[in-house]
Amino acid sequence: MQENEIEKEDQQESQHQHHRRHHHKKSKLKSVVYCVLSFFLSLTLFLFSICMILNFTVFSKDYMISTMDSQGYYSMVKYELQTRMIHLVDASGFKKDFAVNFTNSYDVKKAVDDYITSFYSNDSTLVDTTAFKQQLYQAVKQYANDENIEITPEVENNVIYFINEAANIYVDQISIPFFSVIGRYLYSASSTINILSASLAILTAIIVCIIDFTNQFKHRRYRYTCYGLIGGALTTFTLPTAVLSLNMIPKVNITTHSLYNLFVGYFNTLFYYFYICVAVMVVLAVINFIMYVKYYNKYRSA
Amino acid sequence: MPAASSYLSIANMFFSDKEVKLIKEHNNIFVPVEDSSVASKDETSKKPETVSISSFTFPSYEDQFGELTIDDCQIKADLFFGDSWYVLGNGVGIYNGSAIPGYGRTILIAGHNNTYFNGLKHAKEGQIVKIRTNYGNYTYEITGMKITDNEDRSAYDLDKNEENLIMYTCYPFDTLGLTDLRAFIYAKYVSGPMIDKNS
Repeated sequence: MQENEIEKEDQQESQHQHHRRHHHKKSKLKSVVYCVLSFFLSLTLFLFSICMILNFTVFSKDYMISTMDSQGYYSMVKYELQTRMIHLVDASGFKKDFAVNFTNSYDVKKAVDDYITSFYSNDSTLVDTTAFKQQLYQAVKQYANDENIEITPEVENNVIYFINEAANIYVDQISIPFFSVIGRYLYSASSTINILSASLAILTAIIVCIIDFTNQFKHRRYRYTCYGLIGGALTTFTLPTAVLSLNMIPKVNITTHSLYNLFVGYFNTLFYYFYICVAVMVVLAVINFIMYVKYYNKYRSA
Repeated sequence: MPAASSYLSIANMFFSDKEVKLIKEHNNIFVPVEDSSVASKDETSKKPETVSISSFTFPSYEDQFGELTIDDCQIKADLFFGDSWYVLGNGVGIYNGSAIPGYGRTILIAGHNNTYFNGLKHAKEGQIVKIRTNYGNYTYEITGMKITDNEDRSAYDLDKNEENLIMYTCYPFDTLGLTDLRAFIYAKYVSGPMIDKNS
């Protein structure tokens, strides 16, 4: 009788042990699966952040124009154009102050904005020099009249040569190097980026739902979501920090003031967007962590 | 790392190793030298005096390193190394594919026809061109003039193994606008220290 009871107890004990081992194995497997899910969550969050940043910056005409505004690009272009025109005018037998009148900030801003807009809307419009040439031709005629210079056919040819050269300088100053090439790619890639952003948003939501709905305990839901968010924040943080710590941007080989300022301002603001995304993810991670602590304490006390 | 090196080389083309200097101010290294204070001058020999290449600062692009004077043409202009728009707005400039005075090769100097080289319209054979640099003073004598198209490469020989000076500007003078013609004024070497490239 006693032996039977002992045997029964032993059996029960071994069953318990087997059950515990099985439970432990299952729990370990589960945690591995959730860690992998957290990893994918951080990856999708990182890629989603990049897509969103690109959408709001590189693929946005407004971002380019607002950067130009904030960096004083238009006035610098006007100044550089005027300086180059003074050199040209100086080489062409005019008085230096002749160059001062045919460049104004409004015309420069309009020409630059039209140029930028044409590339973001896939129009391969070149810089329109018609008005500039007409204005210059009228100014030359007026100048010759004021200075009593006779416009012979030979001088007329020289003046046309001068106007064409001035127009080339104007085009060169208004346009951004390589932008015509990049602009085409920007336009064709913008729809892909939109699709990619939407897909990544859906994928992120699915991963969060899986973590949420398949976890029995609330504290674990928050824990794995928190892992994903921290991972996403760290990866997003690394990219701009690496570039900024190398201090490459201020060393870019651009020697015109306007383009240099535009380039540096453009990328610095782009990196701020990265840090904004990092901040959002960190805030969400902290909220998840607080929730985790709250539910973990409840679980422990229960 | 070897795999990344080619990409790093490409990146280095776009980035400098120091912050870019954007202020447009030329470097003036011109400190006039007295004829008697030329470095390594050999006064005892009858050979032309020499100046050691290591004894002076070799001009960089857009550096002002001298002064060009032609008294008969009323020309007195700062001399730069390079012939950019900036340089020609401030003086006359040596084409950086040619040589500097004393190098024993062709010196090709450009200037605007309505400003610094306007006086070349009075250029005549036998007139003296003086060039003062930060390492020595030179004299050349005008030997001729040629009007030609701006595409005419036969107007100058940059490979000539003889010290000679060519000044060029747009032609005609005092005209409004830009022209396709160029006036070349040729001058032969008269005096000045030759650069000793081996010391």
